[in-house]
Amino acid sequence: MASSKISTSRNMKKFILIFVLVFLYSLGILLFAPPTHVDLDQSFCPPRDLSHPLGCDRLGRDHFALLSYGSVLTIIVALPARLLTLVFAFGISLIASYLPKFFKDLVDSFSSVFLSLPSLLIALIIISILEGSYFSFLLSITASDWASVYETLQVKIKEILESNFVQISKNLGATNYYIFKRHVFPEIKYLLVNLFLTGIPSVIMTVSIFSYLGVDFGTEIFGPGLGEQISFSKDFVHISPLSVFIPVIGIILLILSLHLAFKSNSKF
Amino acid sequence: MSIFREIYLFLLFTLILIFISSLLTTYRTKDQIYQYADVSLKNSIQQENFFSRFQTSFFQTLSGNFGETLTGEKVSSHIKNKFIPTLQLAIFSILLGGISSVFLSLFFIYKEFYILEKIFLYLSIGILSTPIFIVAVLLFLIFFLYIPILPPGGYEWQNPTYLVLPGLTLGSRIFARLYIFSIYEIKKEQEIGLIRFLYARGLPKKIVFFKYIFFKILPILSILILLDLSSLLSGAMIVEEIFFFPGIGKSMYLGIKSMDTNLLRGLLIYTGIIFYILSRVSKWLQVKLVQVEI
Repeated sequence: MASSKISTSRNMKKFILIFVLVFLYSLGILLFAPPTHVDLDQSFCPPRDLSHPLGCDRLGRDHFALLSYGSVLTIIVALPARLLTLVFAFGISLIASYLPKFFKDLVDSFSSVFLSLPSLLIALIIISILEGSYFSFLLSITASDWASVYETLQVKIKEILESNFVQISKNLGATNYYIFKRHVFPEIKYLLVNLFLTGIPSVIMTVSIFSYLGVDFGTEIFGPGLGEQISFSKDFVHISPLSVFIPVIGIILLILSLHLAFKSNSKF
Repeated sequence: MSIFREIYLFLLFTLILIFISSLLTTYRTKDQIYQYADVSLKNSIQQENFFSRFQTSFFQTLSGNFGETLTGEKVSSHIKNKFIPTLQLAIFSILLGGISSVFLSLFFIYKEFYILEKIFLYLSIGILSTPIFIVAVLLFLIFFLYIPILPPGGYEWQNPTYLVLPGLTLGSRIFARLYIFSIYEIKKEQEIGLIRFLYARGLPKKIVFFKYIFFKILPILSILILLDLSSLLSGAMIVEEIFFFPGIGKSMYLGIKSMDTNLLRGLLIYTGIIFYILSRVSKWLQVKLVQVEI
């Protein structure tokens, strides 16, 4: 009874944190235009009334608008990117599981190579080939992340395929499709949901790092990403510390709130 | 797994690594001629197609000679020069993060300092929820602007102060991962029958903790540390770039930015092979020492 009360109170706190964040960012988007324009008259303006509640950066862009649009931009990229990564890794895992040994070794080696490659290089190349579209950005995150998901899925699929009940099914004449439908998918779907939920914070980190290094999407519509804001303002931190600390707090809050939200909902 | 299968897997990995690195360098450096259009370096730029790059990479990997960088330095000696600072940084980060996490987790549980244990647990979650470049930028700004007691960047041979800030950044993540893991493992170990039996036989708590529990969790911790070492020896690109640390990671960043074909190719092969060997060793240790998948 007592533990149930504690758990409800914890869930309530998480819910309040997420609600406050969603409310604040929605307010930022409703009240302010995307921070895509420069207004040098407002450069480094201090926090004041509702026109600039958190002040402005070096180019006169409102900090609150930068935070709100930057966070939304991060979410818009992170959620579909994670989904695409899982679909791709699951597809490859499934194909690799039913392939002859040589081809499975080949796919395993590909995944090991991708694990060792710098994700920035992969992102730059994919974005340059596909000319910086939204899809290219999603694809670059997928290409950087699929290998680790593939390795996790492979371990689980191997465990299922080597289990006694699958061996018995095979001996009784079950087809590969039947085994997938009745044994593999029902077991793996919870892992997939779990990987999706728990992996979003790490995708947000990847998006922020890309943004910090100048690999960004949608800056002309939403303004700069949170990472790019840090990179742009860090040399002027002594004049305007808020320009650095607001996006830093924005990223941490985003990761922490999603981490907490999905941790409490992931029961698999 | 037999030694022949290991060799076969290594050769397969190397072949694919050469293939992928040739593909990546071909695409990354296809516009190189425009980047150096107005400088003398354009004469040293060779335009090769993918197949000739694959062939070149293959023979370069076999011979260990990756040619010269755009600035005329031999790639192999460039990597050798960068390896020492990277190794120093990796060892420093692992000692800092590894030792402190294991010591603190054991100490807090042994002394029953539950509040401190919780504080460090939340701190560890906070560290893992923060992208590494943020930790690096914040440390850089704090020590550059407000507390100028440590060099904010650069590197000097035999001067460990230059390792502190990048080491603290990288070590903080190692600390957080190992601390959470150690707390979980120590608590789990305390519940097992053998430990309860030892307590029941009147063995001092100190001996149970530092002789039985510590040595029980040590193999898994060593494997986790080895996995961290493999990624650190492959170079911490962003951290080294922020702290102007002349290691493998900064070279990789330079190679990507300057579209230096030979440098990029050499570094991709080097990091891939280091990463692969250490990952295989840790998997082998996993089977030999703990007999579980981590």
